[in-house]
Amino acid sequence: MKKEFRAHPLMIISLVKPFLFILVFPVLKGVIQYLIKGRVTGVLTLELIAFAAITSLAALRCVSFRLICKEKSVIIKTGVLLKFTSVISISKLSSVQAVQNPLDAVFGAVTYRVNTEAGRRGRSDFEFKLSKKDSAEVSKRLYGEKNPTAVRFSVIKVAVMAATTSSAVTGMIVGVPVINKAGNLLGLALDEMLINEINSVSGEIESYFPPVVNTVTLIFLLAYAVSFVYSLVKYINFKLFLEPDKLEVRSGFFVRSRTSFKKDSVNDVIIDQTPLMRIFGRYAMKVSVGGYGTSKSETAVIVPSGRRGEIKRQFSIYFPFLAPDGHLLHADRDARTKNRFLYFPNLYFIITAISAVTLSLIFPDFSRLILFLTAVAGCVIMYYAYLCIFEFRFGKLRLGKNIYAHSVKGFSTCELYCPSERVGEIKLIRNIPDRRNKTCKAVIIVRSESADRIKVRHLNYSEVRREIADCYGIEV
Amino acid sequence: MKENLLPRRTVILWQIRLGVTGIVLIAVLAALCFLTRWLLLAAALLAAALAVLIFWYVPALFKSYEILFPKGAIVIKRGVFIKTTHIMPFSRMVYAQSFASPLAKRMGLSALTLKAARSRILVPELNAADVDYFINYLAEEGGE
Repeated sequence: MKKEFRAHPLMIISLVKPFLFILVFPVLKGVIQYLIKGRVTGVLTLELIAFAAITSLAALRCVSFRLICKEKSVIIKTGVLLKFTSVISISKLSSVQAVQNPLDAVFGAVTYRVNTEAGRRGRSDFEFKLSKKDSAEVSKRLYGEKNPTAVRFSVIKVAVMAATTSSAVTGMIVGVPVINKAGNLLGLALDEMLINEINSVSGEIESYFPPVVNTVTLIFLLAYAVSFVYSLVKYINFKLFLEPDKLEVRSGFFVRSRTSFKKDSVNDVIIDQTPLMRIFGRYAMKVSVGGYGTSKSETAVIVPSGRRGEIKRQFSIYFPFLAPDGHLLHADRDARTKNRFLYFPNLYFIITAISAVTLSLIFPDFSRLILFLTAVAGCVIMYYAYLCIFEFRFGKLRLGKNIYAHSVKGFSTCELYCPSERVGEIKLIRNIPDRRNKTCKAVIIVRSESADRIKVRHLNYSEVRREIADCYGIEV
Repeated sequence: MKENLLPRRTVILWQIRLGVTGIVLIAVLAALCFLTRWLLLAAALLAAALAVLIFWYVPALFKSYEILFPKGAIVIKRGVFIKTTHIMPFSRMVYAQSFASPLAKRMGLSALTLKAARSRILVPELNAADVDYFINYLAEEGGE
């Protein structure tokens, strides 16, 4: 039975939002000036006309919006002058997401996002505002209503995940635009004030290293703290609702998010361990769903933090159909292969040592800074060497009805599970030493927007070819 | 699905669109000719190019279009200088989107975009009734 839904009036605000800084704020500023000084400038009149026109257009777009839920499909109608009608089969939906920010909460609205694999990366296919009641009704019509089992995770677990997945780079990406925008809005040079404060604090710290090292360290620590708070606020109240064929993830404190997807929409499951998680002996389980979310990746966290046994147990409960099969392929566990794994760490170590000595001889005044940078690079290379040893000992690949790969991705260890039909590409790379040793690197690329990939090194080439032929019927 | 050809009105729509855009550009160039007389020459060249595009290229492009619906797929062949063939199996299609500008709507035409993961096919303006039939077919069958 078909049912039609209309947009919540708050959608007008979200449509006008892109013009906030160039139109809405200047108009408000002008109105305040008029109230104080009693006159309106020509520019303000023009801006008022533009503001009225854009707001009217947004109102018309809001009124013309229709969401029609049918038994097997969803129809979305948008547009005032250019009329768009989109038909999406429910079986082709990747996920739907209902996000409620504090303003939405006040007016009883939610931002509803419909995601498919056809959308552009980092953007939802369709985003609109619905009333809270309508959003619950739409979700019920799309995915049915069963009694879900709720799994709650403690704040400590979420905090561990936030602490172990946060990074200074993320903190900078999140923090810098906020500081800039807040500074512009308040008419203050907030960034300069912050830098001056950091400089004065770092100047008071006495250490062997030059003051610039203290300043940079402080900036990184501050950025890490911002990233931690951001992750914590994003994932706090984390709850998982399980149904036989559906998963729903709820999280957020100020902005509450609710993401639903069918288990068969899952492209792959990743169990990863970041360097900090490795210290605490924790893992996180994530799923990659095509077209999910507006963040840079399309990964939804399923279990924020847990010990290996706990995570494996939960994996077998949530995704029993992804249990790996096929023959186990791994690199030879001998000294020669171990040396091949350690080739690049050794090379990087030698290059770093030579560069450090050369730079110290050329710039003797900067020897303390060079020592600091060499120590940092040395630590990174040692950790990389450790990961290479990990890859040598635990790296493996299974090609069967389901694909399983265990390897290293960046500075994290990673286990990937996915059905064989979800694999977009298998790349076999052979350089000169590989050809001499009859080995190859196998790269598994999953068919998804962010294209999760994992590389397993130094596998026996003929074994990999045989497994690909058995699994896909393709002779390489 | 039946085999489909573009209606004659589509080429008129394309010519009107191109003509209006071109005339606006020529008018802007002509209005700015007080800056330099060379802009008049540019406007004249643009007018000539526009005439070629409207009266030769657009009809040729229109004639080159071939839309086929073999079993379970859509095939679109097009191109004047470079011939392109798009093939999309319906099983890979994620959703379909129709859109119509006010002018196209007035002429009873509507264009269609078929979206698959990481690709899309644009079917140019067809009869609005055909597009509605296609959209309804997808809505009822759910793309199965």
